[in-house]
Amino acid sequence: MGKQILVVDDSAAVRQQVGMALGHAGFEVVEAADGNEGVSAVDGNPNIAMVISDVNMPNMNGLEMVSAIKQKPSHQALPIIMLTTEGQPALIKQAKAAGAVGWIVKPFDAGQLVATVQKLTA
Amino acid sequence: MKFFWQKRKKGSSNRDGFEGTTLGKTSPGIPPEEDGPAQDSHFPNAASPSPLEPAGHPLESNVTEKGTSTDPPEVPLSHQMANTGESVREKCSVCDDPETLKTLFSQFRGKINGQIHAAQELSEKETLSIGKCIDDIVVHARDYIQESKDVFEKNFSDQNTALEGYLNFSKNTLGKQSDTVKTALTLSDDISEAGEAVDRLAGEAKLLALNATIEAARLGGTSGNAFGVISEEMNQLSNQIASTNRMIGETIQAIRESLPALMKQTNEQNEKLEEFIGAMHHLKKVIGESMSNSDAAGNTHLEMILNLSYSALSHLQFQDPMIQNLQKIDHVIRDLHKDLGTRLHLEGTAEKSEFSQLSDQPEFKSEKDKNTSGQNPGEVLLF
Repeated sequence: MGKQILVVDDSAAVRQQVGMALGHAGFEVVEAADGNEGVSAVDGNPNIAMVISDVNMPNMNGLEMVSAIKQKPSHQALPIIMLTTEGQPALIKQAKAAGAVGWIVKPFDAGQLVATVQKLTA
Repeated sequence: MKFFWQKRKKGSSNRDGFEGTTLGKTSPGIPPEEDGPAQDSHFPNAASPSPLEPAGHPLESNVTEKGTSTDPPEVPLSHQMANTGESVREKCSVCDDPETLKTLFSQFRGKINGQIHAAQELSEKETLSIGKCIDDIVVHARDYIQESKDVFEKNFSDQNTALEGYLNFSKNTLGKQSDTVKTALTLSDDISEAGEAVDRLAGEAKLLALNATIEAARLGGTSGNAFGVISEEMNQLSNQIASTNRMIGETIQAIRESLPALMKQTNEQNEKLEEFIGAMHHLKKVIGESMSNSDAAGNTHLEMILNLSYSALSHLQFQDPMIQNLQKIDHVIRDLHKDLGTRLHLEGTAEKSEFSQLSDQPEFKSEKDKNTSGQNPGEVLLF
């Protein structure tokens, strides 16, 4: 069984695409449709090794989710990268300040995404 | 189909003032409002139904309209919207009922959002289907390559086991054959020695017969005759023993002469078998290398398929940008609505779009900002 990666995106298609890329590389993908579900997934599953999250999502956006997750000491070491169509420096700065460790602008390159996940979960 | 304002200024186009803001993605947005006769009552001069009628399925809607409508070719929505601003302003200057205009705009905006949601749902559904197909292709390719490899390995292993078994049996048989020949040679030597002993016995019997003959002559008479008979019998027996022993010796000699040839044949067969075993081991090595090459080729093909699927995945990610571009339409309408409200001194116009989330934050305000961010699509930025 591969390492578990949480993919948070309100688009089922994006979750599927990320899941396919990581699944074929041996990772096990857990999905969440918004920030709230993402926080619940992380709180309820200690086996999650990394989080890949969209920024623009209903209910709770990705940046809010990163802040909520990182508030808990037990999640301080959990790597979170943002996967979004947005690329504004101010947002990237905001994500970094919240505790995210990386930022990828869609459309993503599956090979690069896999390599990044392998690096951050090694 | 035409909007009412297009009747007033056909072909006018004005995109100024329609700069949209960069939007966030959607939550279930403003639902399209129900159509009804009341809507068209606001368009007394309209010759055909409103172009803003919601369609259950965008593609289906197009086909139906193209197939059955007798109206002139429909003006693209983008052109209609581009015409909207100036035309509405002109219309507003003569509009007797601002509240009606406000309602129309709300309906218009609701229908636009409905279309956006329909497009989003359709693209989501189709993208998921395509993604599933791509995934199936990769999985099936991987399974096919693995199954081919397993079948090839099993066949090779079975054949190898059978051949090894036959070769071992042949080798053992030849070994036993060789041992048997060696044993036969040893036994023939023993028989030859026994034959020499028999020859000696035959000689002694002949000597006894001679002595009996001499004794018969010395005694003479009846006693001599009896010795003569014994002497004759002993002589014949000696001759028979010698004759039989000679025959045995000749047979043994023939066997001894044939055994080395048989031994030679056995050795030659053994050498051929060793050569064959060597050839089989070489063939096994060649097939093993071929299998490795085949595995490598299969893995290369699988990697190519995987890379192609990754490439397809990249192309499938058109949905977010497409939806965001569509959502800009809503913001155009909102700006227009706001402008209209300001001009008509109406309250409650240009409410915040449900598409907007982060889009009202300063960071999301300008497309220009986004383009100068320096972060390229696909680029991985690790902090």
